[in-house]
Amino acid sequence: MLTRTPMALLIGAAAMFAAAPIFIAYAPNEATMGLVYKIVYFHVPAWFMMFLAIFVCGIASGIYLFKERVSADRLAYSAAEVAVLFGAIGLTTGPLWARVSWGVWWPWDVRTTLALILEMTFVAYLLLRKYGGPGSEKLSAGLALFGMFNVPFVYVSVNVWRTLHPQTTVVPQLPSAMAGPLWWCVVAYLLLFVVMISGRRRLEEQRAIVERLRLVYDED
Amino acid sequence: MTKTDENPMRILFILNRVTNVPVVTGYFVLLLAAVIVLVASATVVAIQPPPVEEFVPIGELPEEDRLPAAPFLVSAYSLVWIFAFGYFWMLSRRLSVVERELNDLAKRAGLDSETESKG
Repeated sequence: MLTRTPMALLIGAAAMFAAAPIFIAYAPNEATMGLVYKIVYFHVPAWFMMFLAIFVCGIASGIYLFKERVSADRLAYSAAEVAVLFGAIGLTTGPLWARVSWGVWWPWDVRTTLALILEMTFVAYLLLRKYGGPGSEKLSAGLALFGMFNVPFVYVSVNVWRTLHPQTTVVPQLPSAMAGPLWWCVVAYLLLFVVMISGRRRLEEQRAIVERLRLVYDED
Repeated sequence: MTKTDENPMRILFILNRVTNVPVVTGYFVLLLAAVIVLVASATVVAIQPPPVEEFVPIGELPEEDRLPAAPFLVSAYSLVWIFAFGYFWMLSRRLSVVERELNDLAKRAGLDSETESKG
């Protein structure tokens, strides 16, 4: 199970999430979108965490590929799973916002399509790890690097191509009454991220010990 | 597939012994997941309302075209909880399976060393 520090972080994250609606309720509504804009408090931090998980996965995969450190590979695998989870949160909360403010669940514009492709890239990573057999670690590390290099394209896509999605300038320009609850949620998500990564990494380490012990028995 | 992955599937193997129902393999689960995703996508496409030709702020929409935002906001908040709970439940289940297996191996190692020392 989770050790003491991740458990404390998890309780902290749960407390912050439980308190988030109070701050969100006090935040003002956006002028054109009204109340539904407040989905931003759950949607944007999910993408921040997905991008962060992808960077962790990509960098760890690079270390594994070039330095052959097995611990980096375990971290990459853990981060990929967490990236898929946060991507799923982003991909499900986004359409709820889109349906009310744009009139459609899914507009198939550049941002949404690229985000979906990024999510599918890391789903492919997980499938490759599970069913790819021996050697799939290196293949999936390459895939993770490809996914990581896609992140900047996803991020700036709203500024480069014509899309319904709000631009990247929105978050830095939020007034403090709106930015406060957003950063509160970002911190809560960050705590969740840390707990998830450490828990998932622990699982990989335990699995590695089991595999090693099994090998020892098989040799005997 | 490792032994740790097989453990949750054991019930299916027992069911197979009792009822002769074929054992669900990982590939079948994958195929089922793909079918669910396809059906869900087709449903989403089918219920998609026609796109709006130009941008109209929500405040300027006629009353009958406005959707109440609160249920969508509550749904988004609930989804975060559901995903987080689901993931931690899955993670703790997998961790407990591996830890059980680790304990079994440790016990086996203890037994082996005992028999070796007696022998």
